[in-house]
Amino acid sequence: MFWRFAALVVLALVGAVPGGARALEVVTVTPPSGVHLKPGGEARVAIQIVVKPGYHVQANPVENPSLIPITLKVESDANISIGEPRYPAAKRIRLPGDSQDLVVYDGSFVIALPVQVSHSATAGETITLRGALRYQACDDSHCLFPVTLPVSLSVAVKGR
Amino acid sequence: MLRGIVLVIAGVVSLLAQPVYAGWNYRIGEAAPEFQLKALDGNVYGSAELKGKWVVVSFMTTWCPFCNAAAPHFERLNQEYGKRGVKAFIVDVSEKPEVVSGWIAKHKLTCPVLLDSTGTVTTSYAPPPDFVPDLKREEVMIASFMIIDPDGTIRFLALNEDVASFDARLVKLRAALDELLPKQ
Repeated sequence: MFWRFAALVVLALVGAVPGGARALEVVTVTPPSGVHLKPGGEARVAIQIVVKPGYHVQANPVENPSLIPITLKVESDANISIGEPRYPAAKRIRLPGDSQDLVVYDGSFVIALPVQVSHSATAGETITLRGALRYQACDDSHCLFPVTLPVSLSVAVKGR
Repeated sequence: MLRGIVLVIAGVVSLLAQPVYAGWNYRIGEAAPEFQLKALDGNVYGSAELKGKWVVVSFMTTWCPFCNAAAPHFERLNQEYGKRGVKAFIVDVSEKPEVVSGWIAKHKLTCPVLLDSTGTVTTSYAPPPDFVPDLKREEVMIASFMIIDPDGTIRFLALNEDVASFDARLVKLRAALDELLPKQ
């Protein structure tokens, strides 16, 4: 009797499906842990993006304006100026029957973010900037709703 | 005790042996769920008024590459099969009307586009959670195509299994319509 019950429990657990599936997380975004710049200094900061195997995200820019390009936005601060992100070259794929290529990213790639510290920044302070990464992912057969992930970038101001 | 262990193993093995996708017959033969949705043309469309008609429904979003690839072919199908009395609809899943209206203009869509702003109707048409369990039910339905017969029974549902099975030109949908519709 016990084993029959255990069998049912195992079957229920193995076959269990969440009633309302949560948004599937297929992208991770990792800003560098330590950005150190002097007042007046500038750098291109590499924001590492990793897409789960089997998935791709729409590149930036997209060729079909209806699609949602991956977009990184980080807010500037009084002492830190953020430039336009530079996105890598995209991979081209074509769906069967489509007349237009799709431009996508998969695997691991970097978005380069220009960062400039003002001359009036105070050495020794660390400034944390907030931003967001918006993307829309698909695998070979399904597309997921667009997702916006929070991004946080800390810049430490060094002495001259 | 041995019998119990065998039962557990057999159960697990039988579950693991199931294909990831159980096939193309999800929802086939079931009554289409009732709905009432406002379309971008300002009209409200409901399942009650569609009884007695052959209906083709596609669940789409403006940002979905599969939908963008299939949209011109869906409009062509609407034009051709509309002459045979088929009513074609697109159900837009969880988007703002202003976004959808631009997309309709771009693809020159003439069929009604119903706005399922909460995704509830789309979910009610979705296959059970054993089909691609990681995804939300609305996500599973995006870029799917369905035929509902005059009695309100679902007769065809095309869901993608992989990119090779994606049917932008709607060949399978057309074949199913040709088979199901009364011969002229």
